[in-house]
This record gives sequence, C-alpha cells and structure tokens, in this order.
Amino acid sequence: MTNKNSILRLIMVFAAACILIPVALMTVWAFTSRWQWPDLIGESLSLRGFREVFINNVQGFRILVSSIFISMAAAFFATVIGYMSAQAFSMYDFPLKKWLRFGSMLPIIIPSSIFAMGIHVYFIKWGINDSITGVLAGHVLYCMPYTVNILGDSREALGNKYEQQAAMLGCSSLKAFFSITLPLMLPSVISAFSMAYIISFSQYFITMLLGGGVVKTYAVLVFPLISAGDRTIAGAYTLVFLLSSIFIFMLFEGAIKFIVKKIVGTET
Amino acid sequence: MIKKAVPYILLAPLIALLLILLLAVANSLLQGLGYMPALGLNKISLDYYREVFSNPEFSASLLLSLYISLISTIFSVAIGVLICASLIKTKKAEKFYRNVLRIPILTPHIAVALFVVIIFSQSGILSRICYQLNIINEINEFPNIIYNRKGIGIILGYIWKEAPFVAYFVLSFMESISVSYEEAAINLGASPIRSFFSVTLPLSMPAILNAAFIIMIFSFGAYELPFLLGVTKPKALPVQAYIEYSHPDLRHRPYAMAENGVMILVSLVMAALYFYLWRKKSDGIRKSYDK
Repeated sequence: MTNKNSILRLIMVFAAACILIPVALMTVWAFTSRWQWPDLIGESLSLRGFREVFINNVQGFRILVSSIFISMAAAFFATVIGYMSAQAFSMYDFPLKKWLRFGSMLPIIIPSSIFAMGIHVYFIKWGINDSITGVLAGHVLYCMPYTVNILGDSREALGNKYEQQAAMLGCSSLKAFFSITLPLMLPSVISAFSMAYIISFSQYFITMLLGGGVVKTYAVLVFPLISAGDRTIAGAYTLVFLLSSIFIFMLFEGAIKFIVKKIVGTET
Repeated sequence: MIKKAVPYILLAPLIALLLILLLAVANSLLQGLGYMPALGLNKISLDYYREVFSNPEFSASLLLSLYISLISTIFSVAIGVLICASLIKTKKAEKFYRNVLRIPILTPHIAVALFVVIIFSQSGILSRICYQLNIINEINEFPNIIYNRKGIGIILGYIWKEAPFVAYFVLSFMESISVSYEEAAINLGASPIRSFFSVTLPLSMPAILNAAFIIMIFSFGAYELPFLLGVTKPKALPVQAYIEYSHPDLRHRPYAMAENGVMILVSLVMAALYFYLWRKKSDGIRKSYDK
C-alpha cells in the first residue's frame, strides 16, 4: 500500500516537474543577454528583454493594458449572456430548449479560424471589421460555451427555492435576485468570468483576422516573436503574457474566497 | 403569453451570437460550393471539393491534422487520467499540485509553442545536454524533433497543455466517485487497483469523454501551434486553409472554403460520435442502476 502510494506520489512529482521546467527555462531565457549553443548556462544576466517590452517598444505596454481591457469586456459580456442563458435553461421549459442548448456548444465544435474566415466578409459589409466591436463579438462567442456551462450547472444546483421563499415573504423578484440569488451565484459568476477572461486573452486568430492589425491584443503582438529567433525577447514578452494571466486569475480567485467567506459569515 | 416569451428574451443575445456563427458557417459552405456572386460565380457545384480532394497536398494536410488530433487526445487523456487518479490518492501537498496543474490551463498556446522551441529544437536545452554528455558533437546531429513531418513538436505542445486540462476537468467528478463507490468496493474486498479500473474509471467515463471530445476537436481545428511548430509541407489543415484564404486572387477563396467545409464536416462527425458514445455510456450507467 505504501509502495503504491509512493509510485503515485512520484507520478505527481514528475508531472509537476514537466509543467514547471519549461516555465522556469523561459524565465531564465528572458533574463539572459546571450546564451549560445551548447552552453547550459547563459553568459550574463540582462534586462534587455524587459527593456524591449516596457521601454523600447512604445506600443508594448499600451497593448498589454488595452488587451486586458478588451478581455475584461469580453468576459463581462460572456458572463452576462451566460447567466441569462443559464437562467433560461435551468428555470424554464420551452420548445427549442434542447436545440439552443446544443447551439450554445457550437463554438466548441466549429474552429475559431473557420468562424473568422466565414464572417469576415459580413463584418466588412456591416462596417465592424478592424474594430473593437467585431473583435469583441468573436471573443464573446468563443467564451460563451464555457460561461453557459459553468453558470448553468450551478444555477440548476441552486434551484429557485430561496426565491420562492422570498416571494412568499413579500419580496419583489428584483430584490430577491440582487439580495439572494446573485450573492449565492457570485462564486460561479466569478469563475465563469475568469475562464472567459483567460480564453479571450489567449485568443489569436479571431483578433488577427477580424482586428485586421488595427485592433491589437498582446497575443497578436507576441505571436510573430515566437519564431523570430531572439529568445530573450520572445521569453520576456511571453513571461509578461503568462504572469499577467496568472495575476488576474489569482485576483479572481481571491475574490471568490473573500465572497464565500463573507456569505458563510453572514449566514452563521 | 408574456411568461412564455421570458426564456426567449433571456436567450436573445445567445441566439444573436449563434446566428452570427451560423451565418459564418453557411457562408463558408456556400463559398466552398463555388457560390460567390460578388465575383460573378453563381453556379453551385462540388467542383472545388473535387479539386481539393484530388490535390495530394490537401490529403496530406487532412491526414496530418487528424493524426495530430488523435495522438494528442489519446496521450492527453491517458496522462490526464493518471495525474487525476494520483492526485486523488496522494492527499499530501495536494493544494500545491492543484495549483501547478492550473498553470498549463492558464498558459496561452503561443507560450506553449515557445516552450517546445526552447526545449526540443536543435539549439534547445535537450540538444545542449546531449552535447555536454558527449552524445552529440555538433548542433546538426541532434534530431529535428519539432519541425518534422510527424508533427511531434505540435503533439508535445498539446499534451503539455491538455493533459492537465483533462486532469482538472475530471477531478471533481472522479473524486466524488472515489470517496463513495470505490471505498465501498474496497470494503467489499476488491483490490485498490481493481476497484479503480472496474468502478471509478468506468463511472468517470462521462467526464473523461467530455474532456476528450473538447480537446480532440480543438487540436484538429486550432491554428496557433501547427503554424508556429509545423513544417512547410505538409501543413496542418487550418494553416493550409488560411494560406489559401489570404491569397491575393479572390478566386482562390472557394478552395479555402472547401477546405474549411471539410473541417466543419470532420468536426461535426466527431461531435456526433461523442453524442453517440455519451448516450450509450449514460444509458449503460442508467441500466446498471436500474438493475
């Protein structure tokens, strides 16, 4: 028994190493000035890569910030739409329910590149190509399956017994929503939001084609650098990319913990 | 009357987005059939599909994409389930591992491509280690693992990103089964390994299938990794289609759309297969409960 457990623990250690080593290597690359083959250690430490990201490339930092805003907006819309759909799917019965539920999964089935190439002509016709509106529409569409799923599950689990009770005690449905349902749903709302944020933040093709180089996100900025050959610069850009995702994710995570604590706190 | 409209009002934005998606799909299919009135192409025919299929480069692309998707899915699911099971069994430091497993989920595919390059390319860290160990003497002696026709770099990238996704996706489902049914089986005298394979694993199948389906379709149709880590010939299907699409001569567009049409078809077949398996699986579970 102990023998078997130590094998399982070894598997976990190995898996964690496989996950962490590439990240660590990239971090080292980002801080190295020159690192020629076949050296195992880079020649000297340098901030060249980060100077490039934050100082030399005037656009770099600005694109990072605007990228965060675009993904926040996409996540916001995807979460609101996800919530509305979850409410409809879990609280009502209607003829097209099955089909629409399947429809909400369609973006998982149709690759985003096909969507972007197929809709491009229409976005040009409607005048929303190369604009934030068009890019956002694409991002929200591709975040939606996840928000609908996450929120649908927990909306169903919550049921409407609390709302009914509140209504029986004379509470208006609007008030019941804001003071009962929403607070109880908040952890799932935040996790749907952060999932959508991550998906939007790493989206490349939709932004590239529908943004047409006018709407630039960080992913579009980093993409050509990966195969450009200068690994110090690629490493620095990618490290900033990864760290900003992790930072924002931890922020959401902290928010969920705080809210759960608060709700539990008020109940007792 | 108003009450009946409520769900549709709630679903209005979702329906609007879906209509946009369906429009994109319909447009792709129509253009692939050669219908582009703006260019004076009004005849609907299967000519472009026929031409695309008679092109050996296309068959190679299609096969490459299918192969990448299948191999990465098999490995990601196997490794992911193994990680998931190990994580449930090793209670110690569980929180640390859970957080580590999240890193690949948070990592964009673009970053994954860079990881593969700095480790597996001819000037990557593995090649350097081989040199220091005197296994190779020159940079060119290190095998070209990533930019080769087998798409190994692409597959390695997908496994790094998707195996933890599978583990994470299946975790809560498997955990709930593990603490109830598996413990019961062990109490009744089954060995831990036996109870895992004949109780926990089959009961976790719906979640595993779900994760497998998502990554299979994704790795079949995604653009980033095959573009960044692929060779010039054969190119993965999404990369090939986009090259055709961005051709300055617009009359090339139906070829791109025919290729996209094939991808839509394959993805739908994968989805149908998933629903078939899923229904069979859940029917099976329900039947065994009814007994």
